[in-house]
Amino acid sequence: MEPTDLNSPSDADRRLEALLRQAQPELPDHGFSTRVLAALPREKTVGRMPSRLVLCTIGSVVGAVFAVGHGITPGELGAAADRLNESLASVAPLATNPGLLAALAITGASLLFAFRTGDRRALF
Amino acid sequence: MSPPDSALIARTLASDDRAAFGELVLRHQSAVRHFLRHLTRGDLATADDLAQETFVQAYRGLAGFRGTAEFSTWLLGIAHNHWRNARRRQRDHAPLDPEAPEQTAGPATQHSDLRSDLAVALRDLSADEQLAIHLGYQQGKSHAEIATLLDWPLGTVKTHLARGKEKLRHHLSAWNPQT
Repeated sequence: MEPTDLNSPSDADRRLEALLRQAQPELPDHGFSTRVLAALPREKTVGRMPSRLVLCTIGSVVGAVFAVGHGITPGELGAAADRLNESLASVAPLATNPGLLAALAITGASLLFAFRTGDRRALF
Repeated sequence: MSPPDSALIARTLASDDRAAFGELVLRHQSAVRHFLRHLTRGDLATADDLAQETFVQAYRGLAGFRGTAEFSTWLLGIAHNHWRNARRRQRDHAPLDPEAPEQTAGPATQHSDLRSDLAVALRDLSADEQLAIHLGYQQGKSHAEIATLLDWPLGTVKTHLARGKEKLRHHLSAWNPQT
């Protein structure tokens, strides 16, 4: 005898799947969205790179104005750059020190991890 | 015609458009809250708190949404992580939903409503089977999406769905709406 209810496997499957799909009515919002929007952080958490860029630019301009204001000429800046190069060259051999390289790598990895996964506001 | 999720996401990212994000919340709140109600076994307050945290986290991490999965799937993944973290913190059992049908083990009776029988039968499944059934049928997610969302192998998803359905069929086999 042919079953007429859920005893038939194909009918049972269809009926069961239809029931499962119907089992979740839409929940009314009842102010939930408003509460979420109120809980969002005040400052922008997206698109912060442009503001950082603006700050860096402002800092550079202020530094340049400060340098010009104190009578530093381009020639003096070139001489300062040469001295900086010499200083860097003198510490260059240290860069081959495995211990120092390991320390730098750990520091870099830590900063990268914190920047990518943590709360960026802690760093910036 | 309402804009697609991708357009609302783009507006939120481009200009911190909170109205656009609010539209996303409105659009997906039901699915996320249903999912968390399921995970917390009907603890409505905890589920809504976790849902709120889910959306705030989604807002913070919106730039990381690559669009490889549906936005709703991405949200459910965040919700699942929040629930797991909360469970780890609390280490206690959530109360059952007071509105849920009373758990009366055994096959469906002729006098009960089929839907309430189904709710009772669902409670007899393992937690993983319930989760797979909820995501697969009540949330309409594909096997691949469930696998990604829960970090399960695809075979495990299929197994849990098949076993869950088999158990439900068995529970509901006595049901005959004509009687």
